[in-house]
Amino acid sequence: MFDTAFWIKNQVYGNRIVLFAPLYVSSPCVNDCVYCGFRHSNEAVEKRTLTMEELAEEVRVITSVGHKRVLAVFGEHPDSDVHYICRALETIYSTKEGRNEIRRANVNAAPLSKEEYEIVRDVGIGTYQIFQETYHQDTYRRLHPKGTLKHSYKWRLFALHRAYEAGIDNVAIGVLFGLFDWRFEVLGLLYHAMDMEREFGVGPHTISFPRLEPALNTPFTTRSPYLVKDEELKRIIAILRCAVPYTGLILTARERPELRRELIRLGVSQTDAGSRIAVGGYKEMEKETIWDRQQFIINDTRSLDEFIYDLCQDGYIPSFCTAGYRAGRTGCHFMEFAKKGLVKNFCVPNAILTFKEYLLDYASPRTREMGESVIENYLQQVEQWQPVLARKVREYLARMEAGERDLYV
Amino acid sequence: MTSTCRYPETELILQEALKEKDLFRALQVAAEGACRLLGLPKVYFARSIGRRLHHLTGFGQEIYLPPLKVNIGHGYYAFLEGSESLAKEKREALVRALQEIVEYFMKGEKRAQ
Repeated sequence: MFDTAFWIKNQVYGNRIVLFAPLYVSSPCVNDCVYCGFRHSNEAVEKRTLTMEELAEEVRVITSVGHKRVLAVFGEHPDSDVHYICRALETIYSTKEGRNEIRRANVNAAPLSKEEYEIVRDVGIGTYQIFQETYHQDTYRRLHPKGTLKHSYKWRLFALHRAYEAGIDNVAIGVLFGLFDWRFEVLGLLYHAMDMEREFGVGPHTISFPRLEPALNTPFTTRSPYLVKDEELKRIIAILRCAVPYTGLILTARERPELRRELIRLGVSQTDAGSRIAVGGYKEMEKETIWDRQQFIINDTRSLDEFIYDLCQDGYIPSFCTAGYRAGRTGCHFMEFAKKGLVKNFCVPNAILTFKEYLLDYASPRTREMGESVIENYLQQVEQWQPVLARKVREYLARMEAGERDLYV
Repeated sequence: MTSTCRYPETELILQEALKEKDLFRALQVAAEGACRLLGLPKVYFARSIGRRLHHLTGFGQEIYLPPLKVNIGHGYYAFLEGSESLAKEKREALVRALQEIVEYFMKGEKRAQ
């Protein structure tokens, strides 16, 4: 099954891994989720809402190492309502320093009403991501106490249906594994994906499968009877890859480096790197963990450059591609390629081009040396299946050597 | 200098599109017309929402090469695949027709959703 999952991933997307940075913008939250370090009643964790100046500073740090896409994360709180989210996204997009810029901002935030989604939609987001946390209704009610917004299972379950209705056609689902039996949760994810397909003809753009990790003053995170073992996580990823071939699978830096290496091979198509998950954490980059400002801990604190070097060693091509949503390849149009396993005709060339940009502007000497040989290797592959496209990519690479940037197919 | 030549094919695309009840349908008809009458492999349309170019409709077979991206007004963009096979004047005439379609429907506020 593991080999099949890897084969499917390469058939659909090619052997590229899209990289992004999580960007925690606000942590105050009105909810009191039992497993969450940011829960309202957890006074051990300091909650913060970034000002736009602080946010711009975070973006400058993220882009200075080469990132082009972020996942902006917001707490559910009146201080970070839909208007704050829009201001934050505008700040993220408008913060530029030389060649450093964010080209795609995805959003992880609370479920909204259709009217609120329409406001966020108009800022021009990439993907709107909401995790159901658990699909098991009794567990959901127990872990999300009465009297909080999050208590309503159905409001959250149909959150992304409302997003579609508001014209956001790239949405992302996920489960926090460790809250209930993983087998049930996987089936829940698959039914969620099937229902979106049935209703809108477009399945989820990505699926995430984070595992419960320890958080300060949050004993549930280590005591849950449903914590998922490494071997089980491998099966989860492989099952998802085989069951939903067209959807991106996101692995996070929660996992240890050596395990991440194994998990990526099972069909992962996106991951974060060089991550800091404290609100305002990038400004204090030298601190790998700020225990009392994080929602949970992460186990892979390698720098972006180190992570990329390791990816290259394993034969992958890192990608900073943000072309799809800027070239009208959204929603059903994206699915048209992905479902036929043809999206790699865009993904691999755009990985080559954006990785070249990284090598020219940000890479360490050893990564640059290794990366150039990876690019040549992948170019030869493109030459075999799309010679005309390969010529175009070579032309673009030459233009980038001459100083142009942000070229994509 | 931009040519103002008109061609029977692009005139027909324009006429057929303007018969439709809204911009979405008109763009669909125009995409199909551009493929059938001008031999383009694929034409599609998107609406600009901030940085996002949100797909609306289109017609044809993908060729996996960078399309020509053209602003056709009011935040709408056309993506013409294989357009280098068209003579420059004919390509410009097509773009003018698409701009006229958008202008016509936007005046009547019959937006494509």
